[in-house]
Amino acid sequence: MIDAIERTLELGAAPDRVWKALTDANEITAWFGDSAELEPRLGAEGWFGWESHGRFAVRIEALELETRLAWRWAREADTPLDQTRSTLVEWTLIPRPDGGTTLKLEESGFGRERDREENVGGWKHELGHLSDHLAST
Amino acid sequence: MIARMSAEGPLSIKQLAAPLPISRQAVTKHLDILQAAGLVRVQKAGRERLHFLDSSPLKEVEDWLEPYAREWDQRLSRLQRHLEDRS
Repeated sequence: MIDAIERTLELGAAPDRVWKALTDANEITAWFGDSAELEPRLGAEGWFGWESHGRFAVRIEALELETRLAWRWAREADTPLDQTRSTLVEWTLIPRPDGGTTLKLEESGFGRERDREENVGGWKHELGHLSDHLAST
Repeated sequence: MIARMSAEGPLSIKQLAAPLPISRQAVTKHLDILQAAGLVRVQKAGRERLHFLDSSPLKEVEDWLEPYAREWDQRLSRLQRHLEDRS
C-alpha cells in the first residue's frame, strides 16, 4: 500500500510479553500515550490520551491472541470515531526461533485525508486503476 | 516499465514495448494511465514521443507521511526499551 507506514521490530521479548505491552492499558501508557483506556477484546472501544493533544478514540477491529491486533483510531482529538477520519494500525507478532518476537506494524488509511485536501490531482485514484488494469491484462 | 524508465531515462513506446510480452497497444494504455497519474511525462524528440518517469508524486507522499513515520519510530523505540527493562 502506498499511503501506509510500515515498520518491523526484532525484539528479545517473547510474544506473550509483547502482546501484553500492546494490549494492557497500563503497559500502553509506558511507551505510547500518557493515558489509555482500552480492553483487549474485539470491538472494544476506548481512547489513547496525550496531555498536550487530547484523547483519541480507538476501536479494536482485529484480535488474535498473541498473533494479530488491529485498531482503528481517530485522526482528531476528542471526537467520536464515526465523526472523524481515522487510520488503521495493525500489529503482527511472529515468534522467533530464539524465543523473541518479530513485531510488524502497519498504519494505513491516511489517503482519505489526502483526497480531501485535494492536493494530489487524483494520482492515487489513478494508481488504483493502474493496478486493476495490470491485474486484468 | 517504471523500472526501465528510471534506469534508462526517456524511452519511446517502441523501446518500452520491445522486451515485454505484451502488445504496443497495451504499453500505450499503461503509459496513458501512468501519465494521467502524473508519474510519466512525455517529451517530443523529432517525430518520436519519449516517455520519462517523474517520481515527484511518490516523493510527495513520502514527505507527507514522514512526520507520522518519525512518531512511530519514537514510540517503537520506547516500546523496545520498555520490553527490555521488564524482561
